[in-house]
Amino acid sequence: MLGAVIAGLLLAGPTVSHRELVVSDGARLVVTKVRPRSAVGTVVLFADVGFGRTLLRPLALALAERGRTVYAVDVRGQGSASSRGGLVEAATVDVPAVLRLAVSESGRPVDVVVHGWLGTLVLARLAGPDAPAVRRVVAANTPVLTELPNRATERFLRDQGRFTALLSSPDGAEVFSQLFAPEVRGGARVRAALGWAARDLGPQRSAELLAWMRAGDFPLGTSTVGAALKGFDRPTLQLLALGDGFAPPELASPLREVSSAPVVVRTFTRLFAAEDYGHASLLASPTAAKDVFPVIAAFLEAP
Amino acid sequence: MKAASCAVWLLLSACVRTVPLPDRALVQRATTDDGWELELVRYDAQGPVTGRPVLLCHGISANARNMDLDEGHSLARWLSAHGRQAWTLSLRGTGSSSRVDVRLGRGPISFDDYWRHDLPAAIRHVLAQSGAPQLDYIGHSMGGMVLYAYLSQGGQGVAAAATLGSPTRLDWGTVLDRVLAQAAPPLLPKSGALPSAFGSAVAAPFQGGVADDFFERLFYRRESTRVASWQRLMAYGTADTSGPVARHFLQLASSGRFLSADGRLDLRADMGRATTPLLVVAGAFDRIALTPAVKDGFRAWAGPKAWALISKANGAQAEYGHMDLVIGEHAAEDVWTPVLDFLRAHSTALTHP
Repeated sequence: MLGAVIAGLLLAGPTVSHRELVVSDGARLVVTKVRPRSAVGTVVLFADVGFGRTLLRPLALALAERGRTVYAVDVRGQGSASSRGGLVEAATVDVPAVLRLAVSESGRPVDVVVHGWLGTLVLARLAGPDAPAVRRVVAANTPVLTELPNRATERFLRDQGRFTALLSSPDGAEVFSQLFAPEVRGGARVRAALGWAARDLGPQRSAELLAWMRAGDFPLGTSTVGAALKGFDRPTLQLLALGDGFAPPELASPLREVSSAPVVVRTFTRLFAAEDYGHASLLASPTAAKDVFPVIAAFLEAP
Repeated sequence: MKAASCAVWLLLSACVRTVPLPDRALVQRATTDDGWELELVRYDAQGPVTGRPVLLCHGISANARNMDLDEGHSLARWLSAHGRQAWTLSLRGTGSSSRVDVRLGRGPISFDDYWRHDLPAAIRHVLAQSGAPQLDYIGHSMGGMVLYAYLSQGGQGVAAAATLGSPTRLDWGTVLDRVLAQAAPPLLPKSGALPSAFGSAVAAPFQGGVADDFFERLFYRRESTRVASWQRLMAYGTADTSGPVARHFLQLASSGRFLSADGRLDLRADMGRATTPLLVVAGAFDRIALTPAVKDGFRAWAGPKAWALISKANGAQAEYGHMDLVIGEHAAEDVWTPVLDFLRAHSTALTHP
């Protein structure tokens, strides 16, 4: 009996709970909290626009297994969250609300993992004078140099960021591959799974993102993203995926010129990794668990 | 034993046929101001001349044959067919250019030698032979870095240029960075050269036998480049690698800076003074000159400039790795055409025959 109890305790995995978070303008976010048996810190995961908690589930579980309490979030426009508002509201209302929640519940500064263009907005938010209490940052394919990456991205956004359209035809699947998961191991099955973790951007978010890429900057409250990023000062691990067509590494790499804190860069290519990771596959491909997650965990575990 | 090894090597090497230069290719010699002889090969324009002569320069561990591998894979012949007099250059220590010879006071070879001595000599020679006041330039990989250094220090004679897969920052936290930083220094000669030409020639017949092998992962993609082309490049398009140049590149990788070999010049910073029109080309799947490494040079350039990322997402017929930019099956349409378009857009009235 005692043996069974001990075995049960030893084998018990992390506890997963889901809840809604209604923010100041009434938008409804969804927060998944993964709690390990014994937590050594807290990390909040923000996936890129169009993606959400579902994409980051493998990373959340991997970090929880390493003793982190993990919050994975659908901000507005992602997953099961409200659609109302756009990128500005996601950055200025949702991100601070989620971070306040995580800091409040953990009682100390948290770490964050950010991804893609939404990740850029989070970095800008962290650079402000009233920035949330964040200790370390992992920035995965997070652009700081803003321009249109390629023609396929432009067409995708002009078509209102419809992942569903991409996944409904062979030509669309090819575009999805080019932008989000170029050489994923497991082929079409894994790629489709990544695609179904996404949600159409819709007209407002697509237009905002396209305008941001074309203009090179984006208004954010009384400032702009570009201006805010100049104050970024958190120790950061920057992950670059060579095969990212949506937020390419050449747009993300200048972070270490912008940041006043150390930025450690890790680039993943097929030379020694399982894949030339892409935008979605970097954090969600089955092989990322071996190539990428340990790098993230090791960085977050540093004192 | 040595004789047997040589025999085996000759036998294996014979499996990959060396395609000779075409009859119309004129091999010439230029002498640098420090006494080295350089191989230059001239390809006259076919039909009416449409623009300035174009000087083509290869990358590290390579020679001029990168720019003219065979009839179907030749940037030099393609430019010639489009009305440009094309010149390929073998930097010192490569091709049939002078080798390190201590008895003659030649060597060791540093990166600075390339841009301080070789490029000026080649440019002088081409301008003198063609009668043109200026030339256009296309550099692949280190061939672009040499141009960056030359123009950043006030080099003259180049009207417009394109670089293909030329990095200016080499610290990207890849596994390769760490492996090279730890394993390579003891293996690199301090003054001589790594026998990379011999190694490549021996390995050439075996290329492509295993899909997705190390060479393929590092240098080319089968969707872009045929194995036969890659084998030829290995057999006669490679050169011994100067130990000091390789050491310099390792230093660039550890420092994250683009410095002259003597460490006195910050070449990246000085690229901020350059005024020559420049097209910077990157292959989206280049695992040697990573796109951020190439983009870094684009960002540093002060003159008129354009960026071309070769990828399917931008309409290319295939994805491109490092060598696909010069020997890929579709390079003429995907890479060379936008390069020539850029050079044309920055052309002035023709002033040479």
